[in-house]
Amino acid sequence: MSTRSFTRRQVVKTLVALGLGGIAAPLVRAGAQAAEKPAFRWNFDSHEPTPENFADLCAFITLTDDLDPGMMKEIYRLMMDEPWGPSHITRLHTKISAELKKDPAGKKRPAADKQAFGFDEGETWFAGHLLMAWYTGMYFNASRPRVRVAYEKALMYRAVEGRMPVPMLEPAGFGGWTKLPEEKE
Amino acid sequence: MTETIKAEVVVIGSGVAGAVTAWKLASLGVRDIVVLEAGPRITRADIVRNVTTDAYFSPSSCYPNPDHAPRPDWERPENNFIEMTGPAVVHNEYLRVVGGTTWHWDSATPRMHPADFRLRSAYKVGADWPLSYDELEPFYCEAERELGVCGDPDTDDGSPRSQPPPMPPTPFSVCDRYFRDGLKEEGISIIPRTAARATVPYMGRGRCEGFSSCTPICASGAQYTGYYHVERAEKLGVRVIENTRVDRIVADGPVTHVEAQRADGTKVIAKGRIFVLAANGMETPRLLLMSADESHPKGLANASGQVGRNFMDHPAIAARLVLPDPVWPGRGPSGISGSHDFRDGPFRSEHSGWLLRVKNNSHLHEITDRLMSQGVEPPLLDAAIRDAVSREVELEGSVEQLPNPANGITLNWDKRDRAGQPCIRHYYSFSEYEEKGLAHVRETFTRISRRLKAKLLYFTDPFTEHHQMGMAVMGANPASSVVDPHCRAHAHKNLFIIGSAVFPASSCSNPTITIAALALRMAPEIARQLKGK
Repeated sequence: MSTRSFTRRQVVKTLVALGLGGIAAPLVRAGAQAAEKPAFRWNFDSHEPTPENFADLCAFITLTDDLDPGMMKEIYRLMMDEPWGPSHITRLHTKISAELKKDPAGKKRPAADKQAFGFDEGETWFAGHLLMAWYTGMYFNASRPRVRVAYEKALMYRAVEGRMPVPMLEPAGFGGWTKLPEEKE
Repeated sequence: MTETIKAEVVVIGSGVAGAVTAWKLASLGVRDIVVLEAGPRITRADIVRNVTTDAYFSPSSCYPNPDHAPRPDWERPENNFIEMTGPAVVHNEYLRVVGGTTWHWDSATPRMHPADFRLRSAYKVGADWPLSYDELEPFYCEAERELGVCGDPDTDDGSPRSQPPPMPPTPFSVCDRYFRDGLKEEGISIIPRTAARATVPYMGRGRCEGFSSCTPICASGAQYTGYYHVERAEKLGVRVIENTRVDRIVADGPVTHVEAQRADGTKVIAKGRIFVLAANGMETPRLLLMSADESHPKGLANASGQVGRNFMDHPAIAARLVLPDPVWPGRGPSGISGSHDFRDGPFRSEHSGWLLRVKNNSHLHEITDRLMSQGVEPPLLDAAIRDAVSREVELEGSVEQLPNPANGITLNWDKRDRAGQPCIRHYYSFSEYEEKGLAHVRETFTRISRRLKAKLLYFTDPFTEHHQMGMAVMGANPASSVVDPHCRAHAHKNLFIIGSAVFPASSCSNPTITIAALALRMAPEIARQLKGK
């Protein structure tokens, strides 16, 4: 099995190239802490809906290389439980693989960019569905009751980390709300 | 098998109304008090844990909803037992657990305005209360001590006080200061809200630690819940029996007993000298109607025909503003400031008075959802979330509602809830008075957004605040009311009804502190009656 890794540095360079330097800055800071560990693995030989391929797909779509393993397990279980889940994992993995082969340096925007990867309507929907579950920690579709996949591990909390505590789990301390987060430094 | 309980006083319901009543009676020396609570006992830790796994967003969904004591469940229509039949929909929520609905509330404790007690006399609309603000004021003070209320003693909020709030106000968040400072020139006063929130250690409660989760649960316990009075009452010997649902109150002139059922199916008869019905704004009239018999065909205490009529809530709308500057709402407690500027004035002959609330709430989940629905994805998503979350703030305006006999409940005996009790048909509508009040809220929020150079993202549709009031109203005249000014049923002298169900007019103030004040005023009357005085 051949697996290729894309580094955070490559992602940052890509973002800067796309004129998204502001977005890249936090990644630079995070990268300094993460000591350039591989951001993404990718299996080019198999597109089966294995846990490993699913994990790679999630990292690729969310642009996050340290997704919570517990949440990963739960979302994978839910997706595999859907009649359309396994096939969509394979379809997305296949299409992203094809593009990465053409562009091994990872210069394409590494997100669920429908046009870049040629996703059809169903694949776009599936990618959005995955992203929604990772960001909000909630999974639902019309055919089943809502499921909370995660609470504080939802990526939306990571987006506001250091500025907005997780309700009910991270107390601001009495009066800790009287200053802007930046002022607390 | 039927179990018989005998007591001096039988209290039905252990929420703030029942718990404060039981505690006060015990502290006045009344012995042998039993409180029957339909729902189970819960712990704070259980609910905190439930929140992290709960998939729904209603304030109640992380609380128990057992078969023997179901609560309204709007997330799962198959479980719900309230059918809305009027032009307006109100998704009332309440809990059936020991301690009641104050497990999840915003801890807002604004007193009513003096004019709220003489609405008919002053503005020729609605109804007067049969007691005055001045008569209730000492009990407001006592209720504030009992519930542990914080507030600013130097702020005139329109409700004169003879004693300062027992605790200093909640410090303003950045968000609250932004509105306070920005609206001075607009002539709108943003003031600290009184709230049953510990800002200093108080009666065993630690001060607020800013868990930002007042609803659905205060994680630290700084916020008051009726459970605190349950615990204090139990220390004085009150017996609080959970999982015991009262199905019927039986009267032969005076009330003789109540019929109840435990979660395991055991029948219970509770006999007493005095009965206190404190089962929440919806369950109280429901139980009175359920207790109809040959002698009381319209239901108990219902010679006037007013049980189940004059339902009121606080219709409300919210405006989402995008401020020019980041204020990061949602850090700290949710209800810190607001304005009382619109509570009273000559306009009340034309439209509702209303309360303005600055909501120090984060909209993180909703914003994330919205941005993704708009196609914003990584790598842009995180920055977009931060920008929106830091600047989007909601203002809320909740208006008073006039009593309208058509608004109310009837029972549908053909359809039962999971406990076998009849389902509720609930007719609800807004009058022109409230519609005009809501229009004034919209105009004011538009003005505020211009003043602050904020973008007004949207107004919500009207909703209600889950403050179910009326349906067993207080009055001096037995022909037009259910209870007297001391909350004693006109028709049954040993039956007292306490809670927002007795409110003859709603005001725009959150009802809890008035409920507690009425309970503290009623309890000595019960004690006197027990002594034969």
